[in-house]
Amino acid sequence: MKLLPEDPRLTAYALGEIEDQQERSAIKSAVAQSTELQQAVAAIRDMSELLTKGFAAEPIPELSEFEKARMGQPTATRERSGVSRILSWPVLSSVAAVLIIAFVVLPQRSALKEDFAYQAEPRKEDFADQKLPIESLISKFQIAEENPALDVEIAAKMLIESSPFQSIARPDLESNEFVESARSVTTLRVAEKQMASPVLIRKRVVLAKEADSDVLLESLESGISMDYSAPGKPAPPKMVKAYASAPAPPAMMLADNGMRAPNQARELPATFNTEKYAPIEESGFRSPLVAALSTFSIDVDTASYANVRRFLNQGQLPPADALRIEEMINYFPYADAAPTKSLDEGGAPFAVHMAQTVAPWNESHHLLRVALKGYEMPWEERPSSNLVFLLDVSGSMNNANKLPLVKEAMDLLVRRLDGRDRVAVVVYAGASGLALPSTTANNYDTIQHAMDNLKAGGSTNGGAGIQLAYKVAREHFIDGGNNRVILCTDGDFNIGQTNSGDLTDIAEAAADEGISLTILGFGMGNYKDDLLEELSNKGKGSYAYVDSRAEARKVFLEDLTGNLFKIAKDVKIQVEFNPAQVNSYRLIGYENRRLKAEDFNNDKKKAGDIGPGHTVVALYEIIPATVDSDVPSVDALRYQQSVESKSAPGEVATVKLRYKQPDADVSQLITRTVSSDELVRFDATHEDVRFSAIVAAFGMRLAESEYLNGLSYDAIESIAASSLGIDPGGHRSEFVGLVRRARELSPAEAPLPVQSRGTSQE
Amino acid sequence: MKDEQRSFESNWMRSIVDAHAADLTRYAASILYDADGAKDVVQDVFLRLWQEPRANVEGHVLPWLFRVCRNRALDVRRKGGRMKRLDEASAERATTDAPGPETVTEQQDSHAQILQMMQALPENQQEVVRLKFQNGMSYKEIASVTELTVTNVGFLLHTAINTLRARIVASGE
Repeated sequence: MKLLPEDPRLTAYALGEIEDQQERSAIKSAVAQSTELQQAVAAIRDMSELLTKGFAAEPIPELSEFEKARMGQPTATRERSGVSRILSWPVLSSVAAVLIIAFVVLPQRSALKEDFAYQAEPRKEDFADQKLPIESLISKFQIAEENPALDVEIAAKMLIESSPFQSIARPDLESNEFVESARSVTTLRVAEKQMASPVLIRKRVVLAKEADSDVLLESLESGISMDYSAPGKPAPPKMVKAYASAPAPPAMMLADNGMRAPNQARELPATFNTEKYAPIEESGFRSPLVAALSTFSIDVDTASYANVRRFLNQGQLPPADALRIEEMINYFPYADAAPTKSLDEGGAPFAVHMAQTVAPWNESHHLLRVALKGYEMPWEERPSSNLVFLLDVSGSMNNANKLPLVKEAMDLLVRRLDGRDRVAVVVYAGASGLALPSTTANNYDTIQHAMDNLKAGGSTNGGAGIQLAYKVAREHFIDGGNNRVILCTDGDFNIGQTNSGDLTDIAEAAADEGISLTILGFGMGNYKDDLLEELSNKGKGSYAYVDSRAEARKVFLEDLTGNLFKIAKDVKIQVEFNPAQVNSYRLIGYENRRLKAEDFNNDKKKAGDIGPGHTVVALYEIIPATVDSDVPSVDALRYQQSVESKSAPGEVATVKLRYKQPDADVSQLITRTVSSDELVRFDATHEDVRFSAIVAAFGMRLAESEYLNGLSYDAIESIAASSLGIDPGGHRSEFVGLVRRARELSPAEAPLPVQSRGTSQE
Repeated sequence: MKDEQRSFESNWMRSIVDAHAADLTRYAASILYDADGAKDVVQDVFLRLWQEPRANVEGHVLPWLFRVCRNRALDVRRKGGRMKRLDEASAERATTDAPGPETVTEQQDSHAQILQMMQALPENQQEVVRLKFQNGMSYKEIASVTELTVTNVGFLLHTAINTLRARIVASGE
């Protein structure tokens, strides 16, 4: 038997986990013959001992006798907060009905599944190796069903959370539609237990399982295949196909699984693809004497971060123009408190939070963090939606990480909508057409059928497609609702109305009528980032980049309300700096969102929208007046003393925000002052402040910004790792992995053997 | 009501609480970073155990408890955990994790170091590492708790151990 040190079986062997006697002796003899393997086994055992001791040193919580007695009681003995809320039974919505319809149209595999389900009955020692994830799902269902006394919701949740996808790709993605469908299925089962023929019920449930599991199963596959694409194991065919078009060899892996691809960033020819990015010119320091006001429009996009992640996971450093630092910062959820009063009760659409700290890359500089947190609208409060999907089905979309992912993403969304909402699908390729006339979202099977029949082929005419999509959206316009075109594309507009000016004019005109444009970028290699970004800005919508199922879930489940609805529009920020406190300042990111100072009070001038739950963070780097700098300045102005001007000791800046209610034409103003005594040491400041600062630093490092003062990837990684907080969704941990990846790919910092690199070394 | 059986059940229950409640609480706290929340979760787990027919859990109580605990803790974290202010949660963690200055010998330092390194691993790896080395579970038991396949558990552990080894080597240089 040939065994490599990278083989997981070696770890299992070292830990005494190989149960099959034959296998064990085969490994044993392989180890006996190789000193390399012996060393590996010894190292694994050392590590095992170290970990065991390390964990043993972790304090074990002490439970009082009272607490233990309480735990041993068959009924809850006290009012519990938080947890008890989860135990309550939510009213089952029409989702159940939708699901029943869905089951009926399912294919004939039910008979087979039925046997399968019986076999999967959990038995006493039934913890055997479960080859298929689906088996474990079904056995979970059995457990849930056999115990109707159990809380239905718990049973359903148990099922959902037990999916390997959840465990692998972050256990806490909000997969509400699974929760809801599983819940309704379980309820169905429990409710019908006493009546009707058992066989019929079983069949229904099995069908239901199948309906739910198909989607799950696909996610599982993707999660698992990602993990298995490590060196030493050939990637499953699915993965190879998914990345067949990738510019880099398919040696990619999850950035944070701890394994690395060889450094290949600089070996790729510069002209390998046709991705397009608009140039970004980093903002420099300005003296408040020269420009007292800094004005910009908010930006809730996140596409840049997902795109950067794709580059790094492929083994390349992203081009500097692909780095929009504000989009990287805003990708992450932050704990800034949202307004609690609902919009209907006249609550503010967002809360403003301010913090000052020391710049992690320069001790004499300060950072001012301005964070806006949108009201977290409960899903039930959402306005009715009139959604028109505009799908690119051109040949270039015919990749596992493009059209199939689009369909899956749409499916995630449609399952969460109901009879109040309408969905239409317009496709475009050589010719554009209406694949699904506007249909209320409770007709799930109709929608599903239309989506199943979408195929990629032909070339793209995005222009005609956009016009048709807007036409459909207009025909079904919902007053006061959420009217939106959702464009899913790899951005390859190559026939017809390709002039980006014409397209953006259309999007802008539609936005004025109340139809927003959300753009989801898919795929790679042919990606027109600049065009898509501009289109979504003009179309008053958000722009996200979807590179994986996990990201589809983030966009469509975690961030769904934020991406689809708006709670305030034309949100602008203007900051006035006090020259007595501030030598100079610079805005980090938002390069293409800057506004003229006079546009701030001009309500005709459009700006970005904010959706429910969105967090928008802006960072200013400030050189305090006490620090000398070579930023060009001017003498104090002699004639500019206005009536309002006054000496304001300790005031660093005044932050002003303007926004409009979604249906208003007149803006409202929020004003806040920032005082110098609010400065907090970097290591003492809130994790969110530290994390957003370090994401900015990472973006600057990748862009080779001169302002970063040489902060190393190592330093960035360690600050990020210490700022994870609770990390819902695991996005911050993933970020730490990306920083490591970037360091390995950077020739300056990666210790590479000189002889194998040839001329690329400097 | 069969009183005799009831009391028998009660004793059985109490023995299980004594044996596992602390471990479960620590495990839930590793998910929630919240000691009180963890106790609530564990209480719910035992409530569930009461409702579960004995035959269903007999012989594999431990993985059953951990699985229910894990799902409940994730549930709580998803719904309520987010609301918790981050600095509060990290303060709790800091006070339970950090040994007092007088006890920091070199030995404990290396323990703390390994735990810290572990916290930089992806969450799914951390989880299997914890179940394996803190709770002494077998691959099969971990698979049953986390709903992964045994193969997948093996892969995650293997990856985690290799990563930690590489980092220790790197930090020693």
